[in-house]
Amino acid sequence: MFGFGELIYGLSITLTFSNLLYCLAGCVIGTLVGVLPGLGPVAAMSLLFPITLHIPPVSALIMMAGIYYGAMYGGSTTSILVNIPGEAASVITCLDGYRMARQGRAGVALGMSALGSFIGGTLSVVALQMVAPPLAKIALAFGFPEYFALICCGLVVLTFMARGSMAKALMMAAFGVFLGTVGTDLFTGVQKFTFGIKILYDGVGIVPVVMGLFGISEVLLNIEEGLTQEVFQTKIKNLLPSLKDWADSVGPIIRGTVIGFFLGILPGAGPVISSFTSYAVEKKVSKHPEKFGTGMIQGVAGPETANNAAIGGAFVPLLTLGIPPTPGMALLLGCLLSYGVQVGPLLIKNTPDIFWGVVSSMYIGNIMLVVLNLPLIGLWVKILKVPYVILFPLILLFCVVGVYSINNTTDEVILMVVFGIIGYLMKKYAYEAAPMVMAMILSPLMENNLRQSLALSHGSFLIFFTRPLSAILMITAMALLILPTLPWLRAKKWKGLDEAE
Amino acid sequence: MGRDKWSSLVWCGMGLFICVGSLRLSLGELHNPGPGFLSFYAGLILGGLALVIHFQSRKASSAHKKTEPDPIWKNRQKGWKMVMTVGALLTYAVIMNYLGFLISTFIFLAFLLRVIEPQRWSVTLLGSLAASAAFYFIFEMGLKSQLPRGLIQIF
Repeated sequence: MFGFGELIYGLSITLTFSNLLYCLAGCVIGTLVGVLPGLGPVAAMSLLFPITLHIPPVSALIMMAGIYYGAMYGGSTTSILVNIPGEAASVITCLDGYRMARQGRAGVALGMSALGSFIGGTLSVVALQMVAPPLAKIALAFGFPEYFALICCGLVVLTFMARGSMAKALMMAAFGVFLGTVGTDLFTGVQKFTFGIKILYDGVGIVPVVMGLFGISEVLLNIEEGLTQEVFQTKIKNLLPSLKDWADSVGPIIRGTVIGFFLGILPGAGPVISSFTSYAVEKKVSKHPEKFGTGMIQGVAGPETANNAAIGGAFVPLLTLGIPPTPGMALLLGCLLSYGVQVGPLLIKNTPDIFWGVVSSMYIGNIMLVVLNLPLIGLWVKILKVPYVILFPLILLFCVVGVYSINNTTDEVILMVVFGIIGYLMKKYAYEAAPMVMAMILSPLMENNLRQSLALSHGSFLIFFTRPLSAILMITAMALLILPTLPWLRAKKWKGLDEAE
Repeated sequence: MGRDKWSSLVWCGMGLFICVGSLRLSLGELHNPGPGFLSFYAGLILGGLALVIHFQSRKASSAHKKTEPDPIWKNRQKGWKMVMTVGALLTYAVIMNYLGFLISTFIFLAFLLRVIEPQRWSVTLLGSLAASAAFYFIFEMGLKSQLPRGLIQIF
């Protein structure tokens, strides 16, 4: 089988006591943050970012990846039992999952969600293992113009996939590009928009920005909207679905895996859009679309499979091109860069331990997560019963201590609070944070490749259109920018998803 | 839509600020772009799109004859709680350097537990003490983070 020998090599790395422990720690923390509303995987990964600097890179990546896919498992528990999504990718599970719980089928919903997640997660790792190495070989042909075109195309796709207004998403991407340029100019040494603030000399820190936008802002919003949550009181029994449940769920699980993996590769789509798309598709292909929202198991199995499959897909551009498609992946990139790992097409060749170690850990991690989420479900339900009034001070404290520990300065804590306020206002005024974070992370790479390309072409922008690959990418980006202005497409763009909502 | 009218103006101002700042940094030549090159175009896109949204929003609100935007807070009292939490976070970040981690964390948690969503004094004091100590042991002792010791240099 393709990559079988390498997988065995990867397993030899993962199956050491310390790496198994890091994998388990990642899965437990991931499930925990998935279960708790208001602290998503990105905030949790930012929180553990400083800790990862003290452990070997493979172990760090194994743990961080565990948090990311673990949160997808945990998120569904809260959606099904509380009707509040534990994290964004489980929003859609509330619709049918909570209804199932009210009908006394909470166990089946939780069971199918965990098993679907396991199948989707595992199959997407198989696909990642097969797709990534040949893609990395193709990516070796990339030069400065191709990289710039790829980043442009990625950012445009990201804004195209945005749930709300594309213009607003583009604005956020532009602001993110600006934020990414802050710091010392690599070519001239000039200080750009630093205003004499020392912590900005090396650029705006990813962790304070991510923690502010995704962690602090969420808590602020919860405080304003009320801190009460009610766990639906039900006895959780029959976690294993019946044959009929399996028959109803096989199709959604297969479709969810395919949708999740391929949408996961696209910048910005990630687990959230994958789960929405899966739900919309299931509703479309169902003989009884009117029953969706009343407790259909297909509405749980499909999206929960898709959001896990998307994680495997999201690793493809990160590990082959060095381009992260989601903020969570961007943190993994930051983690790799902090170790001095050469991220890009040569990663698999130069550091096979990292690639195959992470891939094999995802197989192990998915097995751990099924155990954590099925037999130990009672534990997570108990955690859900901890009142949010007790949890939110702890979440804030975690954010503060996590950010402080990176450079031992309170200035970055203040920066995090500032971005918390910005994130809160952005949510209130319907501006998406993801394009901003992604653009901010990709901006230095974009600037470097743009300036190098222009130097190479003596100032001619035609360089992006005379080389075939970059021309295709640039034309795709331009087409995606023009498409939404066509009225028929604008009406059609998110019709399916809106129906799902 | 009413809200977009004002938020877009803020972003427009931000775009303008970025453009002016980038011009000061120098855009350079096309064959040798300067440090302000990329940020200038980012500011231009930000400001330009913000203007488009502003005018779209004006058009939409005049069509609906709506002059006042929706209030930002559904519940004023809870809105103030949010503001107080932000204030507490900023104060915490500042006093941590002077009072050290343990004392400032205790005050911060006690404030949140007593003022934001009032708990009994026993819960407030014991909870704050336990959480501060737990964080200190996990991060300072366990993970070897160098948490601030403050002016007293004890904790």
